[in-house]
Amino acid sequence: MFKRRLVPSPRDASVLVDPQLGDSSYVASFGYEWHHLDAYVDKEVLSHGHLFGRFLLERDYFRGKAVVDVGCGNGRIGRFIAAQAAGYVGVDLSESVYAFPKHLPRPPSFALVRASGTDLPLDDDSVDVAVCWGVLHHMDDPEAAMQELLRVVRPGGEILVYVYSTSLDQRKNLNGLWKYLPAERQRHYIESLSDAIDSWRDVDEFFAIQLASQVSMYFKSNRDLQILQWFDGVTPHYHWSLQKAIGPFFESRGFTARETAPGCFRIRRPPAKP
Amino acid sequence: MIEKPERKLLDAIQPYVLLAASTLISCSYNANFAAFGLVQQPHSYRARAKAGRVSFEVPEWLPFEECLFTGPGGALNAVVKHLALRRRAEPGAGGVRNCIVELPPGLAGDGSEFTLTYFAWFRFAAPPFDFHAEGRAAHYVGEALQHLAQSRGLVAGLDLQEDAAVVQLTDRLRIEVVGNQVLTELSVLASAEETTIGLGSLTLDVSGTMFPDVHHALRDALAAGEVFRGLALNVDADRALLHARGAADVQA
Repeated sequence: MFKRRLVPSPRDASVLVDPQLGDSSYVASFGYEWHHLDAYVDKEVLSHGHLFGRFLLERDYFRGKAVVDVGCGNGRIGRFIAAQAAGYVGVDLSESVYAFPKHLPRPPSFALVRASGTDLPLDDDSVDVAVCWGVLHHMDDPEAAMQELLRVVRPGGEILVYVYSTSLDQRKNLNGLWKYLPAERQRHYIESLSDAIDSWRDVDEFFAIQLASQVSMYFKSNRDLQILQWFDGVTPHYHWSLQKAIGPFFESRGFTARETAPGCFRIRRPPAKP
Repeated sequence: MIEKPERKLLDAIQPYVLLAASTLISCSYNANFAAFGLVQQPHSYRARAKAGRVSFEVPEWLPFEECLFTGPGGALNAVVKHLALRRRAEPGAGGVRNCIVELPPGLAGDGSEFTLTYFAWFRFAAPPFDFHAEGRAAHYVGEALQHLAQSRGLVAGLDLQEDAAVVQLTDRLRIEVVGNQVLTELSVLASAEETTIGLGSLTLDVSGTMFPDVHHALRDALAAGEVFRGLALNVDADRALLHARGAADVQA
């Protein structure tokens, strides 16, 4: 399945590292956020809805299939896939991959790999399903990553992609400022303003909601999640608007693409000709 | 040169300057500046009691439950959501709705005037909690900021001028609020440095000495060729100036 030799991580031997992994410094803080949010992930049952609901998947969709989860993070989506699939490979560039839960069901063929989504260490035509949830819009070269997704999916297989919808384009202005704040202070600003707006909500919910929506912050019942989602929305270095590009990219390469929800695409590779 | 006590206060204020910059930048994307309209002036609506109730005709956007409800002669003076009175909102025609409050028997006769007011600054309520802000917006905000500072242990002075309020946080640090009818400017001044939010002009002029993180982020964004839709950005070694280009909608 792997097209080159991967080495066990000195930090956690259950995670494999691609020796060709280049500079991943830009995702370091990103990874930090996801790595430290186990508490929220256990509560976020909605990830199941993200996956099955938004892509309109049947209950046993992943059963018996080999799946690669590109940008798996700490497994917020992957845990639902791994519980069903015959094979699961979670790939992430950041250290969040170390936080993938060890206590949940895993298929016989299971691997976590620290590697780049723009240079997957997988063989051609090696998976039945490639999942890429909320990742492409933050990658340095999303087109290269899309090319990799279609390379690794077998004929008759499917790619599931979620990218930010154009309704979030307003964030681009904000992102143009926030990503240049000192990296070590981004978390301080996110936390202090998140808490401030949250406390205003108790006194004047209307204005707090107005302000939060203007600065792309969403109120959540869990503080960690609220902070993470704001961090995720405004600080990554790359913030591409891809919703309109996904369909044409894959369709021009002979795949069929269906948008099941804003930004959610089921992309099918035609079966091999007999 | 910023002294140590002022530096500490400016560091505490810096997230709010970032919030102001973020809101201006974000609003500029769609040229919708409703959030600025909300903080500029109190939005007041009057109605007279009739048959034991008072019915206000208000714009649909007005947050009825967050409004201050005041009665004649100080009879009732509280945010609607805290009132122990029956109330409801009914849709009206042409972008308005009717907000109806049932009055307790004997409170006010027919023809008595009631007021419904929304002002985002009410959340920083100023003593003695009379919420009187109409025609004295700058003074009200000055009082609210003084109250906020004092509640955090600062001995803050307040100078109410003809069309402005000056909140003196330390000998070398003050906040100036301008515009009693409509707030036009909020400035933070430290020694010879000044940072100003132009609520009317939709501008933000940031001193790099006062708020280095915001200034440096804007400087680096400009250097990297970032394009902010609807916004002009000028930065030099000392200052950063943001100016919204398309102020198409400054009202809520």
